[in-house]
Amino acid sequence: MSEKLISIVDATKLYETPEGGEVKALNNINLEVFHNEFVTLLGPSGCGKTTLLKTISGFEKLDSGNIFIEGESIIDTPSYKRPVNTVFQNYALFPHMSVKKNIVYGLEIKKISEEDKNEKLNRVLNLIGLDGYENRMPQQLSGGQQQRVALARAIINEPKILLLDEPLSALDKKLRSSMQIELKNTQNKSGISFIFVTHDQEEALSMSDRIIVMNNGSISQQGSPEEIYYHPKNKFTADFIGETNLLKGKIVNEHGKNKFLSSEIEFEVNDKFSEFVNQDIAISIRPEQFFIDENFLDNKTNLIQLNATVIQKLFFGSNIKIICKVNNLILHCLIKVDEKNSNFHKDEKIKLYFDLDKTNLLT
Amino acid sequence: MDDKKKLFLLISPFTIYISIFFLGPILILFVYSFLEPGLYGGVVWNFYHHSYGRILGWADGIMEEFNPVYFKIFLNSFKLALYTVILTLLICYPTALWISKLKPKFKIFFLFLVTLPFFSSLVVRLFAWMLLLKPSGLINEILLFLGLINSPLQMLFTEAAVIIGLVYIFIPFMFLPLYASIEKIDHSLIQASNDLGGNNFITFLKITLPLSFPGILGGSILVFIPSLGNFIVPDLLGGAKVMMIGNIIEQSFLTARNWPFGACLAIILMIIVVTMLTFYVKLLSKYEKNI
Repeated sequence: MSEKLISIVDATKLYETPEGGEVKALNNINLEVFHNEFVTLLGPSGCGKTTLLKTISGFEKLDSGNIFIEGESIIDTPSYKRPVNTVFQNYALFPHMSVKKNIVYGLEIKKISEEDKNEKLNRVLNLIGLDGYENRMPQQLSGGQQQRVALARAIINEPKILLLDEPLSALDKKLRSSMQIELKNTQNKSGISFIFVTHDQEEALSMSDRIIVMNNGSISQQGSPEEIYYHPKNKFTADFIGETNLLKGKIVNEHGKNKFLSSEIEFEVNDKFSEFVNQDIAISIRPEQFFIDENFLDNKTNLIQLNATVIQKLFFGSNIKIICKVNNLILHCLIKVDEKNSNFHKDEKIKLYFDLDKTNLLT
Repeated sequence: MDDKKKLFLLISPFTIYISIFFLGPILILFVYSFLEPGLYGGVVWNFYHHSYGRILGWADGIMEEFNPVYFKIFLNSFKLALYTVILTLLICYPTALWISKLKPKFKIFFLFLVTLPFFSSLVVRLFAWMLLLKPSGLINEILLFLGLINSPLQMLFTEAAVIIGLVYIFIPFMFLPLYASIEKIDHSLIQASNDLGGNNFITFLKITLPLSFPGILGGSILVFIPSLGNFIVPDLLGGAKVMMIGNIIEQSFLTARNWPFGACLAIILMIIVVTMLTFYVKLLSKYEKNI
């Protein structure tokens, strides 16, 4: 994992808007991907993630910057010569070719021997679990099967990098989660680095070795799923990844004690916050970081208690989501069912606890 | 109203029109082709199959004689129609490919340009070609002026002139179905081919061309059939030197006043065309089953 497979340097791409202005679809992107890594580009639509993918595959040209694969610049290489393959969002299976013809398309262009071709074909068919389907036409397959053919067609060429452009977005939820596992397994088995584009944060969190969160053509944050989830560095990431409660306020020092102060809430904070005195900050608290019963918390040194009023209760099976308010601030809390067996009802007064050390400070 | 009645009502105007003005005349033509020719045109109501014999080889030798020239004219018509198909295809394919890649507003403009010839009369346009091609016409004048030739070239009344004319009038019929099928090809398929290592040439051969097959087939049929039976173009640009089957049919009715013989030729031509159309539909449905 230490060797750089692909590095993107200062990639910038401008788009003209219909009004004649210019928008930076990619704004000075710097990114590295290593061998055998599953990297996800995550962001809302229009954040530039697909554009970035297309500049790697060669369907879009950069206005400035460079892309290197194993040290060699590829920006002047036409897409058909790049050592990358793509799984398209709509799969883009050739409708006039059988599953077999689709899968060996790349190999036939490379003119490899019939023997090698068949061996590789059987291997990928086995990998994707579609043995016996090689003579079907694409439209005789279900969405999930088509998706797997598209995957097979790309990985049979043994690219250095596989680019996946929201390949699961057309599948239903159940199929999608089984395909997520399959994709992750395929990546492990093949050893090919995957660059996966999605706007689905759950998908990104469950599959990736590393997540690149993108916003407005820039990288907002990158890191492991845990890092991104538990330690978002900015409000965008905190808000986009998972659900979060943002407490926006100010740190003030009163009588030698630090206090977090907002129009709805105030509570004492420890010395860790001293450097932020008189600064506007936001505290990000994940819904599952709230507790109703203080005994469920391990660390009680930095316990903050809030008095809240229940607005609504949503039952999720293993969890209960409570939407409540503290003064006028709406908070979303996720409570384990066994934590408190009571039925929460509307307007019930409850006490909420959270561990300040586990929350995130965003400036 | 149930769906069947609704459907019946919807297709009835078309059905009524076609039955009266298309199937009716064809039936008359078919009956006439088996009747004795009248002395001054028209028909005599006796069963008579020697008109077919004259073309296919069993004439009675008294009133009708077998003449292989009709075979030759059929063949020649096929040849000219085939050339027309090939040339229109070669001209239209790159153009359609190019227009399909333009931005929407330019597409509409160029599609309008393609259909522009429809806005003026066919005969007027063909006379324009006569003016261009005749010995003292514009093309010869320019070539003489440039000193490339010493005496005017005989361009009018040649097979080449007929092919030029046929290509000219049938280009839109090739272009439109071709464009429709090329335009329909999902651009991501082209990208996928590029992505899998196919350069532009391979991609064209393996993806674009096979996927535009219905358009090629449709355009070819739309050009071939009317070219085969056309008589205005060979009449004006081919003169007496280039005969197509349409000219013979026209002459049989209007000049020779042998109606059954003209009907005969028309029926044979129609049988050939219908056979080809059947093949076309079979080929297309086989293709579409795969898509």
